[in-house]
Amino acid sequence: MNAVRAVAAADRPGLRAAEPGLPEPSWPPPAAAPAGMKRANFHSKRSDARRRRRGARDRPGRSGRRPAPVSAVRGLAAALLVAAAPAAGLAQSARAFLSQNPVPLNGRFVLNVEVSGGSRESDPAPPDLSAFAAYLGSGTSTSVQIVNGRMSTTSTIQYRFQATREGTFEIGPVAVPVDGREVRTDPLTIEIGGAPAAGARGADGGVDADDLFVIAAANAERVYVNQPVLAEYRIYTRVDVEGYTVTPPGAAGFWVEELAARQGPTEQVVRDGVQYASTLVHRAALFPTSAGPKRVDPLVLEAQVRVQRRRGAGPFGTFGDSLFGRRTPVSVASNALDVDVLPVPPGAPASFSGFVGSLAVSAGLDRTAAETNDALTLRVDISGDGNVRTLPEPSLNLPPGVEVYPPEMREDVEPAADGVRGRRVYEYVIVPREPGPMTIPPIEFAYLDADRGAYAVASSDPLALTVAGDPGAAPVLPGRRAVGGTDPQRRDVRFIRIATPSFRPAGRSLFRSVGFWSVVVLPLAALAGAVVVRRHRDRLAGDVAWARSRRASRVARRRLARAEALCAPDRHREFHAEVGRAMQGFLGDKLNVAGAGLIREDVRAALAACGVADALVDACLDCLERCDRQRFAPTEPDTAAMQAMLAEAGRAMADLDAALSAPKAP
Amino acid sequence: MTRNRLPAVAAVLRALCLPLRDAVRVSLPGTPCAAVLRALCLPLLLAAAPTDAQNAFFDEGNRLYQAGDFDGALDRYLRIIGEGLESGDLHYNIGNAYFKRGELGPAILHYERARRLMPGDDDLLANLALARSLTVDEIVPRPRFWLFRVVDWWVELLPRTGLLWLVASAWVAAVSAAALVVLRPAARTGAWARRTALAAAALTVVFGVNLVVRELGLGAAAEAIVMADEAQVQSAPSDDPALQIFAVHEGAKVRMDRRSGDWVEIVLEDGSVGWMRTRHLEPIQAPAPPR
Repeated sequence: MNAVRAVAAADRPGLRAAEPGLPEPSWPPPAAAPAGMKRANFHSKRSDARRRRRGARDRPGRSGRRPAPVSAVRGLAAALLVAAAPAAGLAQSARAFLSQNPVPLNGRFVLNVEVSGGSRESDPAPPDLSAFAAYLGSGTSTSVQIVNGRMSTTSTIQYRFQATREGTFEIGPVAVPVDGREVRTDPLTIEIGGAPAAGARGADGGVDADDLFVIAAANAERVYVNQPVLAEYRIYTRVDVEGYTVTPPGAAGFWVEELAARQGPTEQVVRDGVQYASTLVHRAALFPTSAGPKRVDPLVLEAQVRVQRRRGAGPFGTFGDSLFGRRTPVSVASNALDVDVLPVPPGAPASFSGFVGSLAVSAGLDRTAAETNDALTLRVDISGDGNVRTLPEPSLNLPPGVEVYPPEMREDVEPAADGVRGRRVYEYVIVPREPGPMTIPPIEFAYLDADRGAYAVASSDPLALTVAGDPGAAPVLPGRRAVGGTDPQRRDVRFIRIATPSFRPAGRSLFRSVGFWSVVVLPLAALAGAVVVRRHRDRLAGDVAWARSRRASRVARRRLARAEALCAPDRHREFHAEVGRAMQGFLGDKLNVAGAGLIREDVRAALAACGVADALVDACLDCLERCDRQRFAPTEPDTAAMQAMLAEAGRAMADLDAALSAPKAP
Repeated sequence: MTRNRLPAVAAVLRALCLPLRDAVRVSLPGTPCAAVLRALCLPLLLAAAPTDAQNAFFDEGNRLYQAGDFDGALDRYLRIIGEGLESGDLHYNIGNAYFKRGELGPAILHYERARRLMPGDDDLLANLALARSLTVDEIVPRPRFWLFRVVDWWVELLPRTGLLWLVASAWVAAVSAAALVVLRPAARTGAWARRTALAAAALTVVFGVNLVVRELGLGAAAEAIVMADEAQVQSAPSDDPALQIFAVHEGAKVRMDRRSGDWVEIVLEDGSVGWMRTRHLEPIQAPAPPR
């Protein structure tokens, strides 16, 4: 697999602005300032102090805790500012000049921007010379000169370029921000072309433009949109290159597929009668995204070159020079490539997605017979020459009753003789839900055959599949929800309730309902009743006198009732015996003594003690006496007299009962 | 171990309880004894016997539902709700009708309301699970402390009507047996009555507590169902888009905590917390209708 750097062409325009720093302008190194100039560090120190001061302003809350060294530097900076005041007071000026003019084609030149007086706040952006030169990098140097007590500051920015087009061009003014103002340089005119000046050494420490260069070559100049252009960059050198780094070219309007440079052998080639060592440094397939003339910017190569000692140098060379030479960084740019992009011809088929090249499509199932709900693998293999990365996913058009899951995709792209060759394999998991024979239709991709300039369609063979199984058995697979949604035929709520329920008022508390409290209280009331009954019974059982007294009236009433049944003249003896027993028993029960042995005086005394009036006692005793008398009397009383007797006895007992149960007078 | 036994105990209790309810319901129309029972118990326990109008609405709703007219059925059911009456079965049927109409939010709301009245009902739980599985949000509830789970299980053990009958019967039995003990302390029946009274009193206390907890809603969180298709949940009661944490969708169940104006702090079952507008929510415990 190739190391691939695919950047959408639409993103490329931003690349140039973002990348000029990529071959970091480490050349020339800051230490390699021109000799003979008194390089001062003051400037950098002062700007350092300025930066800190700005930082302190940005954080007002911390100003009270500024570290002492900073204030020391500030003081020094202030002193220098005062010293530099006369110089700063002079008008600041900026001047632009070229290292050489004219410049040979593909020769390197340096645009110097010199600012004197004042302090530069930031490096200006490199001037845009892309119409005729490739930007290689920049460097700055600053010098402070003190002559007769007057200090002057000069800083120079060096922009390195390589001429890429012949002709005479104008370099516009460069705007440099100085002390908050903008100082502009005068425009320059540059002439590119002609033979390099003999013996002239380049700016790059003894490496000539024809000692080391990069040539870009494209395999086609007229292509259709999306047809690849294979760009190859070769380095040609007759100096000793120890290593290099490559900045890929900017290519706005292209989809770039970088192909790893084959580490081909270093060849010896003869070019313009000179022998060079040559090797491939970069390859890329460029797919134009729209029609029209397009340009691929030059590639910039930064090489480490070992150069021999200069003849004029001292016998031992300078420090850093080895016995065999010294190492110098050299930047070179290739030529730009121009491509004419043609729009695709009209009459494209429906399945055309913009693919140019050639395609082959094949499809296959892992088996041709399956049960319902089995998982099968459908494999779609698309391969061809061209930009397979932009191919859309195939449209399957599966028969109904077949469920398909999102595919897995593998992709392989490799360089081919005239572009890129690629392959895409999709693997779908398909699940037939219904039995029966079915056919998966051909999968089609249309493409433009660039050689013939005509459209063609690549198509797979139709696939036959036989599904066996019971049509009713269609279980819901776990995890189906994510893909298929719910099948309302298979998942449904359970049936409603038909029986009429008992409704209740919504939201009303149970504890406010009469029913609840009734159910709570009524049994309690019953229990209380039971307790009362129980207590009554207990008293009857435990207190004989009270029990007899409670019972007296009932027993007496029973006897009187029996006596009433005997109320006839022929049974008057039994009648009077019964009435007498009733009265006797009543008195005995009431006084809790044996009824048979009642003595008149005792009864009278006991009842008097209970506070009963004598009249009542007399009535009872009188009744009792009459009964006794009648039992043995020879005469038969009539019924009316017996009835009167009965009533009298009842009344006497009732009166006595009332008198006994009435609350006693104190 | 506890988890294995609890369902068995629940099944036994429910089995004991259901015949009781059915027996009462079935025997009511028949015997004179049952007529007395109905005359005494039904008005007392149920407080509001359904009128013929509500029964007619319910039956008509069922008929329309079976005929496939879910809108009509829903209209009839909701009229009973409009009368201020409710029942677990009624909410269950309403949930079904909403489900058939494809309205998941109201369906889940009424299933949840039914669940408060008949917690252990199998059909209800099945329908609720189905409706939940169709919602957009898949919220995995956070595991709770086992004691709370047991308490919840206990509180929701029996349907409300069954619980009422059980507690009432146990109470009456306990008091009657106590009365018997009071009246006939010596006889052999007295010993039986004493045991019966103790057992029934224990039953009354245990399930009475259950009933009181449920009726008063002790410890029950105020819950609500999301009714909007999608509702934004903010980290604070504010509409600021920067404060948006996540979104919940129709049918999600939330617990309502604090309130601030028309904002309410919600807690999802997986523990996520945020604020949302009350208008997107419908509380499960509907506010009592004005009397």
